[in-house]
Amino acid sequence: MMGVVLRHPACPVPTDADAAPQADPSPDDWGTWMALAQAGDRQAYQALLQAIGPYLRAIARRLLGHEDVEDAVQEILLVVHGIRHTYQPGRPFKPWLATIASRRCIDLLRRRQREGLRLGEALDEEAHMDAEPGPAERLERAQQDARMRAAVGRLSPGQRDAVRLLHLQELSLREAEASGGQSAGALKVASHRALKALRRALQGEHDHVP
Amino acid sequence: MSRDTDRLIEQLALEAVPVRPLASPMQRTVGWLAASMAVVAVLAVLLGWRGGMPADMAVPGGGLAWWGSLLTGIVAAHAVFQVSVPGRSPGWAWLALPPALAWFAGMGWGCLAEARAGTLAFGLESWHCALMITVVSTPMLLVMLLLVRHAGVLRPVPTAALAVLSAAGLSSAAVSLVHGQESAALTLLWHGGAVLLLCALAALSGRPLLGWIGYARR
Repeated sequence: MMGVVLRHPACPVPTDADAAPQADPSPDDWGTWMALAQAGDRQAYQALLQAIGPYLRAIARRLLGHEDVEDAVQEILLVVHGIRHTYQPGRPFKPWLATIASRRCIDLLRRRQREGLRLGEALDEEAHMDAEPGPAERLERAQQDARMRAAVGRLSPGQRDAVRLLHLQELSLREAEASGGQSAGALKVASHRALKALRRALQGEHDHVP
Repeated sequence: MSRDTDRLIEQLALEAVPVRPLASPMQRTVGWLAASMAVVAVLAVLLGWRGGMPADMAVPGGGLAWWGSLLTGIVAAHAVFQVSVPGRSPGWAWLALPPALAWFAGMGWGCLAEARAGTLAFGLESWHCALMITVVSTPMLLVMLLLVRHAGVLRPVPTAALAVLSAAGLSSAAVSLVHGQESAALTLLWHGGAVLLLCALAALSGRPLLGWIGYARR
């Protein structure tokens, strides 16, 4: 990880850095790098995001366990990017980062819990549907099937691929990326949009796929 | 470091346009108060400011309640600008408690005095105060939420509740400048009731509201 840390000329570096293996930049430097990043210095920003990786990973591991740590780190990095203007130069950087990271992990925990509940409801519903359906229920299911088929038909090829790889074949993002033509980021976006469209279709709305 | 994360970092670095850091909470509080005082002053004059201090000051506890509401508006604004920023202590939220208690104690004290004098009476005649507080504080609240829209990923509930407490405190003080002398019971019912209701609504809707108005990843 530290092998890829860029050294920015404007950042304080140890004087013996050239002789010794590159030292970890201290969290004091992180604030300086963020101030440079706020001014538009991309090199300092990239160095900062790479340097904070292990710290974020440690927080994610502590709060979420070993599951989805890398996803959590990416989510935290996106939030850091989105609200980097809220860091006030000169103030300690670590508490700023730790607050964002822990709040994001808590939100992910909540999401995990919600998805768990939704899965439970779906399983209950499936068990209920095993019973012999009445005519009204059969009609409703037929309409639901038709809506779903129409919604799937309206998905773009990229969105259909994302659903097939990530949800039907249950591949990880990396496996899906390797087997298809889309990057992990594109797959995430396509899958999110496709699921949203299919959910709307199931609820009976007839909006167009975004 | 996974390959995905490395790629994401490269992508984010490419998108790193210059941004202006937020001003300090104190500077933001002063700016917010200057703007909202100007709005409140204009509204008070438009709605018929009677000049001088509020007539409610004459009733027992009226002064404490009015100054308490004004101070709650000011202090809650500062607390909003503190708790909405990452790395600042969430304990700032408690700062608004003493003036809010003073505000409600003032109204309660007035009610006790009226009960002792046998004049305690709740009624519907001052309902327009609650309406006016809501009408004045809603746009102020929306502006403040825009100022702290990044809080959707941090502490949306205390941020929204404190924001509404600030807006309602200031607008309650402004409404008192406009209306004539009212009994403590009516002030407690319509001012206090409106503020509590608005705070409860903000606390319930803080998360979706800040998610809608600003930056929040779900």
